[in-house]
Amino acid sequence: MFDYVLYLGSLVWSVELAYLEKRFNVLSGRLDFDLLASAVLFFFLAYRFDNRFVLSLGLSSLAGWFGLTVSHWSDPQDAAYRQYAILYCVLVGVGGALLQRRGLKPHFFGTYLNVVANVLFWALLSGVFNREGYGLWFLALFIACGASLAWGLRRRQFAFVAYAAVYGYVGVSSMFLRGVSDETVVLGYFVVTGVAMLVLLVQIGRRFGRRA
Amino acid sequence: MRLYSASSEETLRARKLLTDWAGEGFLTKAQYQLLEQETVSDLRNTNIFLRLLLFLFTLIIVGAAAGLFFVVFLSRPSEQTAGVFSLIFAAVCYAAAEVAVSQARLYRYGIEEALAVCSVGFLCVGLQAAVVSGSPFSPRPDAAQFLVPAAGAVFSLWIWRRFGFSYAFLAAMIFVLFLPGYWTSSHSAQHLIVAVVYATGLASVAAVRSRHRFDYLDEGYSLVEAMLWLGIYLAINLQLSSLNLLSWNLPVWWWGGIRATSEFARPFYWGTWVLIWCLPPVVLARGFRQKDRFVIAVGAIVATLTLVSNKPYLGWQRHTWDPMLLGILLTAVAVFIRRWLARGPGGVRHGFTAARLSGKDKHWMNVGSNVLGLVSPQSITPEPQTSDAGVHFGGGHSGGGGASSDF
Repeated sequence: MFDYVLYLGSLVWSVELAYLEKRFNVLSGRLDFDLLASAVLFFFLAYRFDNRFVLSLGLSSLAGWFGLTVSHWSDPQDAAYRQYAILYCVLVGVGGALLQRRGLKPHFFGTYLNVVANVLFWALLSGVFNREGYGLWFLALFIACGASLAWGLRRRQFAFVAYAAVYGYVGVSSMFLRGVSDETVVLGYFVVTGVAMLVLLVQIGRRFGRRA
Repeated sequence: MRLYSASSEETLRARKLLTDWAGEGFLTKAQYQLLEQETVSDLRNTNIFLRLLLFLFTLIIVGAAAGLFFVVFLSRPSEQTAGVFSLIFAAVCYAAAEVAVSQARLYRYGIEEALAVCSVGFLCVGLQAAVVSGSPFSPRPDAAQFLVPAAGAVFSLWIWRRFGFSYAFLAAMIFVLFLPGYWTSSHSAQHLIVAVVYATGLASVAAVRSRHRFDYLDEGYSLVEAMLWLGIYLAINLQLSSLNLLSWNLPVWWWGGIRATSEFARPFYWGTWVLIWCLPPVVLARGFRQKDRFVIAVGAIVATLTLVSNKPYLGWQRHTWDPMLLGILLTAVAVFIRRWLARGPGGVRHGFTAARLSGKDKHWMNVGSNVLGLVSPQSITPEPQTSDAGVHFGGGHSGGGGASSDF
């Protein structure tokens, strides 16, 4: 129960700071620094009290410091977003791996990897959705999906299989359906690829995924 | 009526418990392997991630196949024709779900679930188009439109009974919300009708549940009972429903806009205020007596909602610091309860403990931490924290509140 209390306390802390900032402007609008310091506090609490919920808060605050928010992702200036996202993925991924290797809460590594995987896939997909110069991003997405699938199957962490399937399907579909406006073709595509994905997933489920 | 045999489901439940206990170290490897051989089920299930994926892709296939059928074979069909074919699709989807369970022995596999969900969707769309004229969102709806939510509710209940999907019961509860708008224009009566229907359902579930306290059905009934308690509370809390915070009674909202609480008769309004204070202790008492986690959780939720909605009920001014005070209060209460339980003999009081007993929490914490990492609101910074240079981290495991850490 204490895990939830600590998470609730962290959220209350955030709400209080938001109130102080809005009402009294005590932090003088330095939102970037605020987010970094907030992330440091949450990392401290997460490692001190062994709490993955608060670690997630820390990782999302750190992402905010990098300028990454899901609500802003559709901005036209998303090329800069992608660069920051990939930098974030590299730093957090390497940091998480180093901490795991040093034996500091090695069970936190899964949380690091999950957040990194999702941010990376979002970044790569946003590149695939570009009107021009999307080939490289598609290749990167393809490699990332392969890596995620291999990792998920080898470690029996099926969240990564799910990421590979969903992000990969969205990316491949956007490539195939680019410029296609015929309803029959589009619907036929979804029927055929949907069945193919279903068969593939059932095979994976039979072979690997009995239990979570 | 149930599609799965009692022995199959009981075996699956035993296996799940076995996995939890083994994960927590309550069983040795040898014990686990021995018991595992005795809990072999003929049902085929999978983990939550593959289940979600299979559900998603089945939905895509069914939706695209239905769309393709209409595009290829029925160019510009009349509403009635489209409705009839939607009803046929509903029947096909339902039959496919039955076959998936009876032949392929799928159990919470995603595929049969998506097919059952699609059958409910096609049934409602088909009835709307084939039987009922006019838009469901028009200001003066056709009285026959009552058929759509009624059929949706009945069919969802059937799927709940037949397949055991708890979310089908939730869907039935949501369909029920749409019904009173067709019978009466009185908002008070609409709230009352929904609350009475839910209360009737609760009485029925409570009566049936008493026979299944220690078998595989108890968990499902527990969840259903918790949903019904929550539904009753939301039906009588006029502040939540008038703000439309919980998508309450959407047809009325679409027809008449958001309702002001002044529309309710004063005795009814203050009667519901009394009830929102009476209900949380009743729910909590029921949960504690039954040692039912879902019901206790709903009791805590409705108690919090009562605190949140009390000021608007009384017409008092709300302040920006109210959420902070509420958060501090909740944190203090949680810490107090935890310490009170921990001070009991052996850390147990009246059969309750603050210690985690099952690996189930750990699993949900893994899933939850991943989800929260994606959806957590980005925090506003605190003052820089000073850290002790002499500390070192290590050990422990998530879920232990740091108790096993060597920090």
